[in-house]
Amino acid sequence: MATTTISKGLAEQPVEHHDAHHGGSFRLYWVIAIILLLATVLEVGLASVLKGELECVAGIPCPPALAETFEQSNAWAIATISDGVVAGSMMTIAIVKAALVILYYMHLRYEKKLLWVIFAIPFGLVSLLAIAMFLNP
Amino acid sequence: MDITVARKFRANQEPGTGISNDKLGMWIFLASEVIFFAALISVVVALSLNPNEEVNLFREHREPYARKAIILATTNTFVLILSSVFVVSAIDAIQKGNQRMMKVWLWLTLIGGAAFLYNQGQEWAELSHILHEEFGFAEGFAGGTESLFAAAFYTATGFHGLHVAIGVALLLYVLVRAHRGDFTARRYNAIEMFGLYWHFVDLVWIILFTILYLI
Repeated sequence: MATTTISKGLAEQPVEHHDAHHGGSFRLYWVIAIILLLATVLEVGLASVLKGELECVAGIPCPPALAETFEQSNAWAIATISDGVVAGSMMTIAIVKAALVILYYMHLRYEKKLLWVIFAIPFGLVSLLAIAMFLNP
Repeated sequence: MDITVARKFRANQEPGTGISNDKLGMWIFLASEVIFFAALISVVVALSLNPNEEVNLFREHREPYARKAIILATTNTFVLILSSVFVVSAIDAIQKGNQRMMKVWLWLTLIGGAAFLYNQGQEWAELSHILHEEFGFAEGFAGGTESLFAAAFYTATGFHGLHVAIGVALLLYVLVRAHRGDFTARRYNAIEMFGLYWHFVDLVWIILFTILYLI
């Protein structure tokens, strides 16, 4: 009787790397991580100044020397910059961060276009939902 | 088992799509999760934007909480971003055949996931405490039945936290296999699939954090 090789299980087969093996380098991943961390600091800092709902930065009260400057810039921002602009800038930073994670960490940048389509469709639907939300609060 | 049948369903096979079955399956699953979280996030956005007087309590309840908890939430964002880079570092390590560093990076990811869940618990306790102190709601999840913000917050972060917890469980499975020596430079599917799921969880938190705390 001829011997056959029985597959050990679904996840036990060798991976074929021709699609996304090249991906990014170790250095690129960490550069992106630093960009993501800095973008988070920027987001929270901007929100602190523009919205006035947070203490100086990320819940940490301002040192006395900065307190007055912060209050003045805060007052100016609340008076001048509309809620829409604030929301828009926060979401832009968040979307850029999300895009970096999807393209580089999830390797979508190096994957076949079919995966782009599969992931893009729900985002398209979500965009429609978001537009409806903002037009009809 | 019939070998022909087994071959038809191999994870790494690419029947006409050019993408391995496991990767395609995971991406389709993540696409469905995008819709799921979009629904939850939309609720938060809709409540946040509603000009109706009663619903405006959403913002009134959110403000003292955001003020107190922003540092915890920002820490959580840092933790998840770092855990994501730990996962890709683990994949990079195993691609180069470095078993030891792969395990180190995976253990660091586990610590990150656990830290996130602990912090999330702290955030929940903080919200309950603030609703009790400042608005007179009963302690605990009672705020969720009386405060629209609390209901939306607990639901959205609760489901996200559940996804993180499931990710941690998956990671434990991956770690067991890593220590068993299952992974090689040519065979590390499980880590890659776990990585996709984990990055998605990170992605959702990035959006959720912005919507809940910053907008």
